[in-house]
Amino acid sequence: MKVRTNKTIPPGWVLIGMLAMMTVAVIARPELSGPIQFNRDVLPILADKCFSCHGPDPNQRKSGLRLDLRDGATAEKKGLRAISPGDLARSAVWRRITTDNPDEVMPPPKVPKKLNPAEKAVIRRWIEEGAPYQNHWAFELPRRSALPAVRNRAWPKNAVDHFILARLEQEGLSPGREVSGESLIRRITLDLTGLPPAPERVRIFLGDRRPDRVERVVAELMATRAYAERQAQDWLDLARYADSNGYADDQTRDIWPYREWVINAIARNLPFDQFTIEQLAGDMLPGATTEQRIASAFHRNAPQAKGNTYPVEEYRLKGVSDRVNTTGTVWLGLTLACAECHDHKFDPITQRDYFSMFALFNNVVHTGEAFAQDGPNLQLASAAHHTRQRELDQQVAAATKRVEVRESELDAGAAKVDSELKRLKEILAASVKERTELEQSIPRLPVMEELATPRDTRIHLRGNFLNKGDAVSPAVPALFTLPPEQQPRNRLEFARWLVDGRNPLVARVAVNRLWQACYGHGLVRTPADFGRQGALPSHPELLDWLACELVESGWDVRHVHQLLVNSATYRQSARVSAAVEQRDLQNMLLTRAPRPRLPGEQIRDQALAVAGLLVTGPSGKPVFPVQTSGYWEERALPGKWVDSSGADRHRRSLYTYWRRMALHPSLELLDAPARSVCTAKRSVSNVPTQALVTLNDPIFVEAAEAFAARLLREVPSGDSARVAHAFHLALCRAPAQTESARFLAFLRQQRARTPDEKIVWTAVTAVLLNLDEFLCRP
Amino acid sequence: MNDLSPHSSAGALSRRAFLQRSAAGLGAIALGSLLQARAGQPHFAARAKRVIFLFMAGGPSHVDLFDPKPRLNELDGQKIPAELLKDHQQFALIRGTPNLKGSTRMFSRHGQSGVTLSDWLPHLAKVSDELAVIRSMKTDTNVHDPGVNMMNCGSVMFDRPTLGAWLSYGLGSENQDLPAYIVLTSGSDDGQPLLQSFWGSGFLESRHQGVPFRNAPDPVLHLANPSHVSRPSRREQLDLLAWMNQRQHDALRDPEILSRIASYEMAFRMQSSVPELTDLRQEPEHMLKLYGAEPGKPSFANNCLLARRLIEKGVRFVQLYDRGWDSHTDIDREHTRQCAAADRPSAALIADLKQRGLLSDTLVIWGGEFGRTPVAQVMGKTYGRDHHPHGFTVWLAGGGVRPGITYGATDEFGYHVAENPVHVHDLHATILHLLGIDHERLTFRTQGRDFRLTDVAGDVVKDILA
Repeated sequence: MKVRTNKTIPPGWVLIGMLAMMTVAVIARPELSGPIQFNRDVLPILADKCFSCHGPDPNQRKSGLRLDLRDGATAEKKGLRAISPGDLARSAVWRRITTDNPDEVMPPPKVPKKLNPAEKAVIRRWIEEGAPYQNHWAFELPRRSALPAVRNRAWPKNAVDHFILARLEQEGLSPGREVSGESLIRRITLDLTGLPPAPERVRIFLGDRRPDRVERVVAELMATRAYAERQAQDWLDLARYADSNGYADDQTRDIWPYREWVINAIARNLPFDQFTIEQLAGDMLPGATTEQRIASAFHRNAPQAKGNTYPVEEYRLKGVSDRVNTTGTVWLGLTLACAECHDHKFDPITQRDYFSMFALFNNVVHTGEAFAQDGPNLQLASAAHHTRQRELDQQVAAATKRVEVRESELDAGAAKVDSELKRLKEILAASVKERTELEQSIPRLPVMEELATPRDTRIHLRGNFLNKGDAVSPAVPALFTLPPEQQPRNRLEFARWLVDGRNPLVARVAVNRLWQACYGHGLVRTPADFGRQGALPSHPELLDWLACELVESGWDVRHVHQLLVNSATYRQSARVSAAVEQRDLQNMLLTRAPRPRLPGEQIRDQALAVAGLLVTGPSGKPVFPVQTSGYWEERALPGKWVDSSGADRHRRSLYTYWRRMALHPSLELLDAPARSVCTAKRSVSNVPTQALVTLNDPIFVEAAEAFAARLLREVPSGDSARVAHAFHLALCRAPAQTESARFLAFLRQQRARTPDEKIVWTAVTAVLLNLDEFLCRP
Repeated sequence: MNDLSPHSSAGALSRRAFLQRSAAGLGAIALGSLLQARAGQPHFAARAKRVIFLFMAGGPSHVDLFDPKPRLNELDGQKIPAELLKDHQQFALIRGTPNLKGSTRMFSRHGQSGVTLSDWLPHLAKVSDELAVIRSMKTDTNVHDPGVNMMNCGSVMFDRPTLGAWLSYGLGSENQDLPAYIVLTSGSDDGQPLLQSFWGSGFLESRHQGVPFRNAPDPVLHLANPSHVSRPSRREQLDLLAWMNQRQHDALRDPEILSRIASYEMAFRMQSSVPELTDLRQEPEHMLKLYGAEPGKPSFANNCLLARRLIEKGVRFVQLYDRGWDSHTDIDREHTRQCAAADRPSAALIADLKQRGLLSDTLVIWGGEFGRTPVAQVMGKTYGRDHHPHGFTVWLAGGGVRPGITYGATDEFGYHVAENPVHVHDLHATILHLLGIDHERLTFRTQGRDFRLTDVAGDVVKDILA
């Protein structure tokens, strides 16, 4: 699992950091003047500074004291209480965190963590106010609250805006102004479809004066395959979808039909509960269809180690752990992986919980040894395959017959030299060869399939599978307080339990990711960790409202997605206003639109689209866009990358062959994850090696050339008109007068260097394809 | 000090935004300590400012190179004693109970310090007084890729940050024109593959990942402009680009835009600095000879010389992978080949750094992901040695390391560590210490906890510090 949230600290800003810290305290905790709230104010401090020794893990617990439970913290021991509610003087915790005595002070000097004065002040007030505890917010069911009242009633477009605006008004802030129509249509189209709008679509949108023009275009775009493809991209990061096995062996696997399944499922807006059940346990559904079995490949996306060094069991178990951990990240937003070797140190997840869940994923068929290890496969022959197979069977039979007949007509000596027999044999051989090739071309999709008798599951002491502890039966983590008779007995029951609408986490985690897709960050900024160490929601009531809306709409993801995109919040400009700069630098309050750099796939696809090269539509098998020759060989990786030709050369990047140990370098450099593990949020970096990709990678050079050729073709004459057309294609807007003038001057510069108009205009298009405006969400 | 990342020239907004986020406890990190490190002021005085890690991929044989075992030679051909195999899972490839195998090499003591090396390393012998040879290394796995991950990341996993990424994250870069972390590769084609994760940034921002330089006319991918773009024309393109981007910044005030302008400018500078830097023809003849380097002919020797040129320009961490040490068969032939390619340049690098006054603050590390078994893996008429994680040798030089010492020991077979064990975590703690970093305080918060290079272990090996 991988979440990339932190940013590194650039040098030399310590002082400003300290100042900023004070500002943020005001923003992140606007109600700090009111009573202390345990979850919001105290828990983050205890979890970070105290729980590793005084938390849920009994093995690490010091002095038998646990501070994560009120009973533990307030229990009397030898006449002392760690926390004596309301009585600072009698609270040992207060004395220990404020003493100067190095033998007494907490956290102890050898621990690198310290409490700062502000944190101590919070602890003090909390104890004085009676040390109230709250259950962790994310483990309580979401509650739908009424829409908050707002003063500016003209602004909200839907429920989302009420929550956002109410908070802004509470802070004395106003929302940002609406972005230009050109930027809005480009933003919506890129976000929803991953592709830029055609100039004609922009023109229609700008000319549309109806009040619901945004809602209309959103609905229109959501009905396209491109929408499903773009949304699938994020899901494939979570599903750790790749076309290779991972580990050093890293051979190809035929798992692309699963990728197609995801696209189709999103295209038909399969409700999220069904989407969940089919992927986690489609194989176990009564009368499972082929499509449902394909969906179950979700958990065959786990990397598969192969080799002959360790017992087969060890290779198998790696995959089981990955399935548990990925399920934890994707649906529960919990860092279950911590509990594989020991009880979780911060969240109430025991090692027993971990292996009880492990038991649910431990029953998949595993076959073969060493490098031939495998799991269940589904042969996916298309109708055309079947037809051709039948034809070839008949051809082979007929050719065999003719050979036999001819042989019977000849004696042995004559048969050796008979040209007719030779010809018949060649025909037979050709048919046999084609039949073999056809069989080999049928994808063998890795899918899930349950053993008739489940394996025994035992706790692996310290995570070591050779060191077995208690036997466990399938169960969900105890924090969900499910009575024994309701515990899931298998994967299917588990999947159904996840989406029965009574889980506090699943819907929140899902809508949070949707929010992240629309607003750069989730309402909870740690999308893979809703536990005690995770971030608190910036708008808890909104998160809960959306979670309830998702469930009550029948898990209609598209409906919630529409709410997010149709809101006034979404339409704000990305401009950082001076007022806001001082108050909401992190954009916690949504005072503006985020403008992250586009994902690597979108940067390439957009360039191809603008150049008129992009090939849309389904791909099926993965494709091989131009890659530096010898790139795999330099790294001694097995296999050979052969650049695709024809349409496949310019297909959407979603379909690019995804090799875990050597991703296409341009995708890798633009921060696409290797997908060896579940990725809930990509990092977005901004480095010179990326500039070299969009300037010089043959893919982008070709795009710039084709873009230039398109300009020359579509605007037969007139530099200004061509520049304007180029702007419209790349940026969906007309150039400003100064921009146009600057580009015309640039043209004169280039013409002084070369008489070749194609080269001159390719210089123009290369600049456009590298503009910050082009590379970023508008 | 400057940061490679254009963040360093960005407006104040992103910095403050970041700090605010940390302060808010959202993905907060060990703010104070790290800040110091990022500001180029490590936790305490650094002895080393930069690192060259000579990674002998595949695993060199410690009992044939650094760790002579007379007793092993005596018992050559006898079954391995059972007690050595206690608590021992199994060999990587050997099956059954193998025989002990002594070394065919001659060992002698060298220099004033008397560091012992075999006759496979005649050049290294000449700089032996600079070496700190650790004969008691231990790692957690006997499989190549998890082993390389372990040596790089302190974890066998494929998704953790590598040492160079941690250093880029913790210390930043010291030059404007080059990445902080560069990877060079050489060696035999039959070696193990080099995986993306070997220079990955794991959960750290991807800008901290290593940049592999290729043995190709374009050392950095897509460094060269396409043939129809002249350098003056590219300059004019970038001027226009910067002008447009600046306008965009004026309109939106997003500091990332300034970072992007800086990125493009650095890319432009790299287009001239990198080819110049990698052009070994600029080195005098005697220098090429010292290393055994031949411009235009990729080799470990070329890479050693290039590594010196890179660190001279302020690159923080250079890792060289020399492939082909995985001698399961015919170790005499294969290790002869590897040593012939690696010995002279390794020694030349030490000598060259020394004479330039760079050795004192440049840490050189030499070793593989594990050693090789003191038992034979018999393959037909020849024999080799299998992977051996329980005791092996790594040497360090320069950068605040005590020169001319041998530290730790394996048992009489060269099998288990007998004295002063140094686990990979301890080696990492020591490397960070030499760079002025407390390994317990260089942390990154993800998945709800503070991750370290050294996981939850690691002790600085004080005895090898100068």
